[in-house]
Amino acid sequence: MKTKFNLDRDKLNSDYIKSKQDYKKVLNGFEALKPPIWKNPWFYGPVGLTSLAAILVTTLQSQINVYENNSTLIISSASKQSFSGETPCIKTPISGQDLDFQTFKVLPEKGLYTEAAYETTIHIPANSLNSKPAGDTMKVKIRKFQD
Amino acid sequence: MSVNLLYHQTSAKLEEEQGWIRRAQKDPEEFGPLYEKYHEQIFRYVHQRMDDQELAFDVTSQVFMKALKNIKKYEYRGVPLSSWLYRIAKSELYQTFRNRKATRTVNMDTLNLADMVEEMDDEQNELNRKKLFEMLKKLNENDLQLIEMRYFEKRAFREIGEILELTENNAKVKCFRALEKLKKYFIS
Repeated sequence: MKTKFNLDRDKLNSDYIKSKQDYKKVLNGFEALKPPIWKNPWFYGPVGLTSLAAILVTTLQSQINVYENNSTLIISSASKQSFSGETPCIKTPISGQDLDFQTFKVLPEKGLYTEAAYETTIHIPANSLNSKPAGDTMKVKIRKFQD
Repeated sequence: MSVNLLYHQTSAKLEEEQGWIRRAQKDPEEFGPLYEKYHEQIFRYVHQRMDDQELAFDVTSQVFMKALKNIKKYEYRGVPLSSWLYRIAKSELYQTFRNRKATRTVNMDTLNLADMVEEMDDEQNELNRKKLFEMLKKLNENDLQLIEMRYFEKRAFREIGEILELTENNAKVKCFRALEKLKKYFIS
């Protein structure tokens, strides 16, 4: 920091300094110094919680929409059935146009959540399938037809 | 040595000031009387340390804006509000020196120098005053600040301590050491 030394500089008189008083300017500056509304602690009370809830609802809603748009296949526990061997599959709706299966391995106690072909999300909740013997990996074969 | 009388206030004056402060803590508009009371003191403190008069008025306004912003946190410690304002002014000043590249200025009178030469037990003549003026340039910022407050602004050790956040005794010791340093430069 540079320092300058002055000797016997002219003194300003009190009247001049008084004439420069401007409390309005100080008040305006003070208003400008106030933090914006979202920086106030009270904002994080009711307003903040409401905003957070709104964000969560919107996010969840958009996830539900994604499931719907992408034809999510959800196997719920209500659809638990016992099958042995190869299960009967959907017949191709248009004769002569066949599709290959996509095969996924699933550990029943862990379930499965994955993307399949044609923008399909596969969600098999944990413990919604019964394997025999218990703890074995299961194979899920999937193919999707759209007309 | 004469002492800055503005610092010493009667208990009635201090009480009146406390009333203004309490009102200002509830409503910033009520800060007006405090602004009027201390504007000149704070301006002189700032202007003493810089040459640019308009900038000094600007910095003074900034000091009062910051004071208004923080008035709710202010706690009375038995001393005038000025000590608290000087602390804000000190920090605003150094911020201005850094951000706006303003030049730190030390302003002194021949009379101040004469007082100091006398305090150093030396013959009070023009040659010595000139020599002292040159020697002051050798002091570091902290020592210069102490000498400035004590000898050019005639502040009490208690007030210096409050502004620099030191005890009265510590301010006294530090002032003494700064003067001793100056004496050494002066003699050599």
